[in-house]
Amino acid sequence: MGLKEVKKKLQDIVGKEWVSDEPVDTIPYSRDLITDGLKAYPERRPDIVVMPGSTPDVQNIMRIANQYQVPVHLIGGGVTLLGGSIPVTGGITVDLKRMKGIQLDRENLTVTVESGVFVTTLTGYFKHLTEKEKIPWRPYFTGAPGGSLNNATNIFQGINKFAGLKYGVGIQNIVSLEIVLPDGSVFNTSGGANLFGVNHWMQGPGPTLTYLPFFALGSFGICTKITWSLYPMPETCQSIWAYYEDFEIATKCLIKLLHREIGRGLFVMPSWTQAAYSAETREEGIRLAKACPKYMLGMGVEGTRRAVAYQSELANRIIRENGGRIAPPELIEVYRGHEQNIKGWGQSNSPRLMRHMGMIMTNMAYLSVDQVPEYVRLCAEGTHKVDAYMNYPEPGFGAVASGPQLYTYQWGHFVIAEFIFAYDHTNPEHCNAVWQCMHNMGAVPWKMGTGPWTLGRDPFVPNLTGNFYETAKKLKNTLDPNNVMNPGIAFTD
Amino acid sequence: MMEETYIRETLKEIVGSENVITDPADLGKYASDGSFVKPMKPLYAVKPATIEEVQAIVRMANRMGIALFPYSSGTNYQGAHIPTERGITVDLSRMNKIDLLDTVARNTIIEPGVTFAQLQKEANKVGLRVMTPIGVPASGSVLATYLECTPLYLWPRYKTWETLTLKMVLPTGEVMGTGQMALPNSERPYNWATNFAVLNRLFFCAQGTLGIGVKAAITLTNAPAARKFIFAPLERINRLGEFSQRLMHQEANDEYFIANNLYLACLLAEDKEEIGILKDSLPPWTIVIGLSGNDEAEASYKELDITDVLNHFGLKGMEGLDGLEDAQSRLADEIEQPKGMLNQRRYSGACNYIACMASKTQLKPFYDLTLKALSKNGEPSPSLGWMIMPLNFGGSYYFEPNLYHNPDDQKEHENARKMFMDISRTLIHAGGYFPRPYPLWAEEVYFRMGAYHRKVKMVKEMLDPNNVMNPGKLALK
Amino acid sequence: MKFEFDEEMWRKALFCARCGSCRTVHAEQIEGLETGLQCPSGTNYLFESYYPSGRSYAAVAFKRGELDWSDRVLDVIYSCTTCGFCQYTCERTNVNKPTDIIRWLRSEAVRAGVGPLPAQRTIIKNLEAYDNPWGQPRAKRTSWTKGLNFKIKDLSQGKEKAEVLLYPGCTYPYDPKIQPVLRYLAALMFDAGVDFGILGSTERCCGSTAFNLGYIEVLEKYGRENIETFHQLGIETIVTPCSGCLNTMKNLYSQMGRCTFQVKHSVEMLADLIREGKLKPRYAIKKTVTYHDPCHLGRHGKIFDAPRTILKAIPGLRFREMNRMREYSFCCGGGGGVRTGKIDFAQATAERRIEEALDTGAEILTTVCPFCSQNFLDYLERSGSRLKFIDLIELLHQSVYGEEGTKKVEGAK
Repeated sequence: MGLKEVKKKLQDIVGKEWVSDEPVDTIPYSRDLITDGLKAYPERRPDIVVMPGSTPDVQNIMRIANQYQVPVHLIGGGVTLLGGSIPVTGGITVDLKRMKGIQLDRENLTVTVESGVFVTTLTGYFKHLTEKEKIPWRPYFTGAPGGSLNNATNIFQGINKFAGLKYGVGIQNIVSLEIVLPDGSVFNTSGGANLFGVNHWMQGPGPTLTYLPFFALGSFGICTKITWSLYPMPETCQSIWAYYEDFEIATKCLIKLLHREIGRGLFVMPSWTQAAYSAETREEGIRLAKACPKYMLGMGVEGTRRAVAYQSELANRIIRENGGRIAPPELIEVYRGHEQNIKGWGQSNSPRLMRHMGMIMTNMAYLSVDQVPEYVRLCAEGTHKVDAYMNYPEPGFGAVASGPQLYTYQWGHFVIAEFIFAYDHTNPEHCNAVWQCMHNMGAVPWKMGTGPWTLGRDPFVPNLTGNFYETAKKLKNTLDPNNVMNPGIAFTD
Repeated sequence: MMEETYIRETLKEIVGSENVITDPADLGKYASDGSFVKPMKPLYAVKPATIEEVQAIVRMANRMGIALFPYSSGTNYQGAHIPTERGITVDLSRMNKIDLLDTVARNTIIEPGVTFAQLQKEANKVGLRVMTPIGVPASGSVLATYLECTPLYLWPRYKTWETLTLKMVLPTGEVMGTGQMALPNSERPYNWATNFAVLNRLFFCAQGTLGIGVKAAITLTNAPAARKFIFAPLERINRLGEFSQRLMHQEANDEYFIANNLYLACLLAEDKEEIGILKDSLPPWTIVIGLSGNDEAEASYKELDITDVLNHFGLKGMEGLDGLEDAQSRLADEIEQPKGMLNQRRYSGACNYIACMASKTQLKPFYDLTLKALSKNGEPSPSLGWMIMPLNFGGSYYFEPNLYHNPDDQKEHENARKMFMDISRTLIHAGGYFPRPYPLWAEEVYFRMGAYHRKVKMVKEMLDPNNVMNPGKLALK
Repeated sequence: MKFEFDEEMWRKALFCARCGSCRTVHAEQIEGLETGLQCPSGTNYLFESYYPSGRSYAAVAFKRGELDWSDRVLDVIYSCTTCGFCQYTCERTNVNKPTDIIRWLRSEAVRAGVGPLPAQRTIIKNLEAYDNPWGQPRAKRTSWTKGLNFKIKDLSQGKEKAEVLLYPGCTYPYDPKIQPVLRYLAALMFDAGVDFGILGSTERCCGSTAFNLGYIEVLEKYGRENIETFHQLGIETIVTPCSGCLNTMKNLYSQMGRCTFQVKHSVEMLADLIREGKLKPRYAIKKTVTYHDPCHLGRHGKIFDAPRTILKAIPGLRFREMNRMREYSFCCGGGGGVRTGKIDFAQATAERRIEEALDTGAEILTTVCPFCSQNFLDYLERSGSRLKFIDLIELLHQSVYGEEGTKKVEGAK
């Protein structure tokens, strides 16, 4: 009875064509890789899917949800989902794809984007501007896949290995958000709060509330707009690739580079991931992976011509002096999959990694850069003893298809390390082997005193973060006393 | 009074009697800071040395319903720490340990009592340096200065992310870490963008109303091998926005700010006498651009990139200024171990700055509005110094008029106060952004941002149900 | 008929990784505003169910008995233009076949008696009655040959022989707006010395429209009959101007019987003729032209270069590519039965493509597919856009014979 009324009210807000409770429409919101693919989560459908067209629509949806105590879930672009959008107890799923406004403030160097705009569309928008109007500015593009939305309330760190060194993680490049809170009120943060002025500054006024929704998996409300700062479109850019056989040596070289504060992005990765990004077919990816040396140190350099000349010469010298072999130009062609990222544009190619074997999985940790080799050693230990992983599809291939990735941010003041696997997720045995690896590695980050990039359903996090979790929970209870917003996703107790 | 006795004795038990200040003469330093905020002494001041002591003090305050006013160095000069009611100043200057100086990640973990002077010395020993603020002296607390989002000389290059993670004593007495500091085993807790909800920025620009910062992981940067400053005289700031965007697009600068003759003279002069000489010899405005490099080659190409832009705008970059041939070393020294406000005060005895932010399109209009407000003043106006710091690649500007007056002259003082408020109001109501809503501005700032203020109130009530932590600030009554 | 609607396909559909490749073109493949908007129905309807991943999930739900037929399900299934972008890109990443899955869903709908959409059912009735989807008399199939100043061989009785069978398909002959293209083509072929003939009014539909709607058996019927006819008549080479017929005969007929003939699109033949010097585009066309890669010709038929060879051979023509081209071409909106069943969606998609064409600065949009032509023409007429549509074959004709020569052809605009 309640849901019928809810449906009718939603239809009154957005129009009948944008509300559906038909199974064919609700099924796609009930499943993603984590349900059937990884068999790690049950499939649960929302009762109703609704597509708001504007911020007032979203506000009204939230008001109805509160009135009828119906849970509200969110979905972004519908790509690389890992359970964050799957309802726990039915309710309404809000799909933001209709909200596609983009507003550029060329003078004050910001762009405000509604949350239904794909990351890749924003890339295209700025490429278009660059070409047609020679505007030398663009937002910092995070590493989110191109099909992601500009939706701050889902996991949105923005890992971009080609830009993080200089500009940090994605959320450091946001000026403000517009959020619809669980009670339906709309809230503009930071400079956006200054409705009679210009929205340009990301601190204040007073306590800065802008960053609260990030990582909160939609628990605090629905982000309807993001205002991004604009960054220089450089005169030129270049990529540097170097081979290493030993991860520790690569890391030592990386530290030397970090201390010089050059480049835009700097990372070390297993070479097979680079091959996978660039290969056209699965076979080519596997062949390249086996033919590559173990690790690639990659660096993106950009700026004026003088800057690029100086920085690339210095980087090349440091790499050579520290055990790296610079990849010749013809081999750089192999890594063309990164060309757009090297130029500083948009979108991560992580979906393309799936060509290699089918799926990737990572165990992520935040460490100081010199701690990473130890982390890698422990992870490798946990992985290499799982035969079913190591010897599929051929003996020893597991060692090729797994390994550490090291991303650097903010001139190396913090880094992110991952241990990444490729595996055939359609093969149950291989799947189980990966879970075994993850299980063996699982406690490594915690042992080293770091924390994983949480999916929200990790039972460790509340216990280990103590008052942090409690404070976040208090905030959640204050903002959402009826617990309608994405219940059971981020705060599982 | 029994209650006060109880409080005093409890404080003594917590920190030792030598660390509880009761003498009204000694309490004077917590009562005012040169701002126009009404001076008020605390009942007592207490100087904890450990997190546990801070916690005990906070718990006691909650039990007794007495206000706490956190104080690290009192160098915001806007009255953020000045009591608003009967209460206790928590002076954190004894908590001055540098827990870790990590030369690999180039970060350090510090307590709130660590000053710029202290940290700079330690950082220099290992080839690093701390990023210093433009208006705050080296005796200022690093943690508090950073928490207040005070502009730093190096913000134009490194932006505003010098603080990584925090440990806070919440207003109810619990300890909470943000980011990786939330994890007990974390030896090097640097990552701030992790875990549920990114809570740490909540405590920035909060004037201590949401908790007491007791530890922070902050970034350091290199003490550069090669370094230089370029000074370019400027007649008018009409095209400053355009120039700044073009300059910052090159990404060759470190420090970058623009000062008028009076401000720059005060900043760099040896003494008061020289201020008088310099302010007449310096150009109306000076663009100050710092650059550095791993070696001379890097500094050299950066200088060329910067000069390209100067040339484009018909400006001349110089290594010294009229009457200030050793500007290079003076500025380097000032940045290294700043005197900041202390230098500014030498001119007339008092200096009060307005921490406003303007967008590029607001820059010139705000400048005109400020002058207009000044000109409407019937009395002789206070002298006006300006500091403008372009940020966000020239999309945002720290727009800081500084008013100089003789505080011993009652009339001048009153007039300066009036102008301070007039200009502030004018800017607020013209759409100026005040990210740090200090006591004299809070009402007006939040009047314009009511929805945001309600959320601030909500967060405050959530974290500080007994309203013990710096009550009355942020227009929260 | 062998389709991979088997366990392997289900296994893959089940493991759709939501990678987004089916709906997004990566920035290194194309430049421009339109990235992220690659699936015509997803872009239009926005619900997840209208994206390939959503339809894959629907298929899985059907297989498991979790989904019943309803009007909404039919709308979801029949709102796909079968442009094949999702299959092209997914095959290379997750080895899924989303377009085949959609075709399977349609065949199941037909089998259950609930599909296709009501407006689309006339197509099957027409095929049964007239051997063409448009319900037009068989005799009118050859009305395009009137007014030609040369005789075309009639190969239908086996008495006349020719090296090439010209197979116009059903759409060009019966639509007066695009019918002249056949006259242009025939004239070019004749004057270039190609030895060709037609089946005349005995020609039957290739079965493509039936297949797209889910009538697999109807396709199989036409496929077997046509293969038999071609074989009996000793046809070795078939040239068709219809991209749909090309795709069907080239890619699907081989699954139905032994094919002793090769199938080419007319643009391939024309490009060869230009290369051999048998066709000489000599008259300049001083216009800026952009080319739309039809899905059936490009992604399905793998023919990208021949049309471009022709355009670049035309003197004075300024050729501009759209952002989304070749394998990444964006659908015109005319395929998959959508024009018959969901004209608004078809036209909305045409509008999106035309915006992209306008963005190149082109004055003329060209292509070589009757469905694309119809859909673009309808939109341009309604909207009064400044962009002109001219079929590629007409452009070539103009360059070979001059503008006056083309205007003289019956039915020319």
